[in-house]
Amino acid sequence: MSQPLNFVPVAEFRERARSVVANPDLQKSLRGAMDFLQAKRSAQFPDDAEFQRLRDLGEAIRQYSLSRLPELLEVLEAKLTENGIQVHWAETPEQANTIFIDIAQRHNARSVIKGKSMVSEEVELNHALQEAGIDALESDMGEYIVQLADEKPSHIIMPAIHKTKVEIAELFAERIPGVDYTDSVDELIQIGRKVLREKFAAADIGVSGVNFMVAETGTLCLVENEGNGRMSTTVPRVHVAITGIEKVVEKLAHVPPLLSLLTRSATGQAVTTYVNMISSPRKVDEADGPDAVHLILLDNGRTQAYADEQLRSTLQCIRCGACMNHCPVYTRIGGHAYGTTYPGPIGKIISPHLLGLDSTYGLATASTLCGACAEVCPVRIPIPDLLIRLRTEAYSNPATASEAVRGAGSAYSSVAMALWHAWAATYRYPALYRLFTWCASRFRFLTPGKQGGWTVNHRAMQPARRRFRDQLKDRA
Amino acid sequence: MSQTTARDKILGRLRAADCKPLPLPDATDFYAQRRHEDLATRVERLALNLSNAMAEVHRTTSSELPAALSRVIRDKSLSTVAVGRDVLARQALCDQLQNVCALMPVTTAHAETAALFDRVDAGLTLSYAAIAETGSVVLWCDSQSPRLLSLVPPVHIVLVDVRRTFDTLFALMHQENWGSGLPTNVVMVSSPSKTADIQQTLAYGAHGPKQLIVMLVEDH
Amino acid sequence: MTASTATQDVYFFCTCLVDLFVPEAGLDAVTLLEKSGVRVHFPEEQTCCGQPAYTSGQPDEARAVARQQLGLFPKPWPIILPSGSCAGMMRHHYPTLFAGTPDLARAESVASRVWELSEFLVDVLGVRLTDYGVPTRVALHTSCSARRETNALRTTRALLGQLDQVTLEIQDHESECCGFGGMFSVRHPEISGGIVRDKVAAIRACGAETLITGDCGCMLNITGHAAKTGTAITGKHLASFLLERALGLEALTKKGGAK
Repeated sequence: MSQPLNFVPVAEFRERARSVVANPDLQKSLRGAMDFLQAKRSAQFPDDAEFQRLRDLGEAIRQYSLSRLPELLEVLEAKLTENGIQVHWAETPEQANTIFIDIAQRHNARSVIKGKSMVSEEVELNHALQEAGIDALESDMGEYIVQLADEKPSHIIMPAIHKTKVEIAELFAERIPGVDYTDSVDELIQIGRKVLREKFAAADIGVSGVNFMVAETGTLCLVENEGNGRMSTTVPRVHVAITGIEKVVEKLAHVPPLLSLLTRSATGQAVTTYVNMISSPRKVDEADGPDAVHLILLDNGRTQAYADEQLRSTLQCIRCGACMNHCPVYTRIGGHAYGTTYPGPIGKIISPHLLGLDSTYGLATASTLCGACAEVCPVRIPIPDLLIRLRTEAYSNPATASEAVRGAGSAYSSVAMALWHAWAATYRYPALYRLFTWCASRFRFLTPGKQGGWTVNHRAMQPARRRFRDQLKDRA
Repeated sequence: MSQTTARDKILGRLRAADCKPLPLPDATDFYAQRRHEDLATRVERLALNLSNAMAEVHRTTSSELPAALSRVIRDKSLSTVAVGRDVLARQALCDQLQNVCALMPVTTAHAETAALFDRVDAGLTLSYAAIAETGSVVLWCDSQSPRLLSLVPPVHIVLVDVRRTFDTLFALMHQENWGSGLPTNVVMVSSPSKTADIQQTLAYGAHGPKQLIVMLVEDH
Repeated sequence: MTASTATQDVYFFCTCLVDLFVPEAGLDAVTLLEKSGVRVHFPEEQTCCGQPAYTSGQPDEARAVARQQLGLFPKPWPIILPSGSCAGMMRHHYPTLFAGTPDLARAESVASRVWELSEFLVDVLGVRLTDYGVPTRVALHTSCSARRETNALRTTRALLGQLDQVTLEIQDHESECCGFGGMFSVRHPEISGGIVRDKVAAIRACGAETLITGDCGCMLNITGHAAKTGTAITGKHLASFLLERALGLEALTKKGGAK
């Protein structure tokens, strides 16, 4: 099995990014995939005015839900319990995994089939289950492919987006017994279907994520195209859903606008093949469905984001992935380079709460702040502003750093700070600024030919012979 | 026990943030600004959206339904068709269908799961409603209507009473007062099972039915 | 408004990049404004809008530098910048930067008067250009700040559209960032280089002879990368290009009546 990827030394992020940028094949397939997803999304929002009205509504619903989060979670818990769904709370990934393993042991479960769940990736459930001697198999085609390759998903919606058809064909031929090489997508999908159907029928527990939890009815909503989500939540005798505490909304009527924003933004679909709303385990006179349904609610740093008014907007996210599909950085480096469960712009703003800013501040600086992410975000998360805030937290003096984010002040360096002080001193006093720029211009021949990171990609910058202000005077 | 503590700690931290409650958003205005179509237009939109999503759409009337359905079953050589209590309650329809296939009742808890995976050719279900905007069929899964019939067999056939076609999911929820409670499972189905997980290439029949056959039943 | 009506006064904020690295863009912008009948005032005490520190997570340093600029515009005149990025900083981020400080009112006053050059030429002055140049093909790169924090995409295209002999070629992925991002280009050259590499290739492929942009940061990024990799791209600031096309005092004429 793969190593946990949830620790991200900044230097390794650079190295991973560099190697992807230098790989022409990967560049081509990433660009192609992003172009495809952008075009699909764009076709779903032909009327910008309608899109903006729907965003207003989506943003308002998410902000409202967060503003009442503790009460809504209690209502949700009470309603789910009344419906027969058992609710568990986990502060950390370890607690979530312990809860899961307890459930599995109570049901004597040996095998688990998983629908797509990013939160289960976040807590590295597969790894924990393996250590507990329980088989866990991914059933989403993309997740199945990356699991077969001992990898992690590189995208939250399209887990195997980094792999080409030929790579998948080779993987299937090598890793699935009795399968001959084929690069027909239909045949590959049918191979996956056949393998996984046997597992669905035999699995003791089905795992899923949740897209929206509805407090008023005690309902878990899941969207998907393949049917594996429905299989995982219907065929095994036990269903365990795992999700973050932020996914709750109060009213069922809040689901349609969010659902529409989600599917149109994510994959450019008016709706997914299946929208699955689960409100209870199998009732006594029903023919199918799990006899027990559990929900694990995970914190893992979300309460930290929640505590700060600005950072709270991070939790508005509905995990559509549009931010990464439109990100020039993601398009160049792909999902694995980030090293975090959630890649792309959303990963840069959520990961510091999950993992600490000390191991993730290098992600916050790895953005041009171009704003493409915020422009497409269906719930209007101001991602560039949050990146600037996280940079501010990371570079603040540890002695005086705020407690808003764990690891604040970890990027502080007295040398860098001295340089910024010097910069500010020069630029806040016009006389000093004029002296500095006059010298830079007068002695331009002394300009170094190597200018740090700049000259890696550019010819060295050289000041003009005469500054603008001098030439303006000459002219007059 | 640590779970109680985790719950209290999480809720405690959330409460400590002392977040100002915001006004309850009302989606009604947004949906009120959108077009409302008459039933005939809604049905056309439903049929078009379903067809575009690769569902096979048949239009029939309640009197012609048994014959139309028998024809579909015979044409596709579906020898075993699984049904729930809701379909079984339609005695006349079942009597006719038994001339062209074997109907397998799915009524006992977990009894037929293996058969559904191994030897059933199609699941036949009723729909609760339909949604024009997205071309969706809504299944209301309870004691009358099992969940696996629309999922496990390679073909799913669903009967839609077109008078139950709503503009949007929002309109359906609102008019039918879903907020007061839902059955065990509600599913919106909008196409055969599909995936684009391999190099963004669309393929049908990922895990669920490879074919979705929608019988639109319209009486004028 | 016609050329003969009372002259309007404006402040010009040249930006630190123009002052030291691309002075001709500033001079050409001033000339354009003057030829459109505007009296241009250049406050000598100006330095930098503070953006480099702001986006680097140094709000205190950014505020210290930005505060110096707040006192430079005492008259209620518009403030014109030959940069969408710096205009976006002053218009959108100054109120945030100075929130809760005694300088907020001054910051908001400055923010409300900031115009990116092309916005002012089109939306306020209603400039009409006559093209005296030979036929040419150009590509336009609009900075992300200009695109998302100002109206410069619309107004720059409107200005180029007035030039009869100029064909605007749309490069592949025209709306995508060039990978500059200020300190990002220095801090993350491995990623920045990948983005600008593609931008240079797209501009080369679209058949344009000149790259036009209203932001010197993007221009230095794109042409600097092109030069480093031996690809020739001629970059021109929009002001320089417009002036060159509509050369001669009489070339700039104005339509009546814009606000």
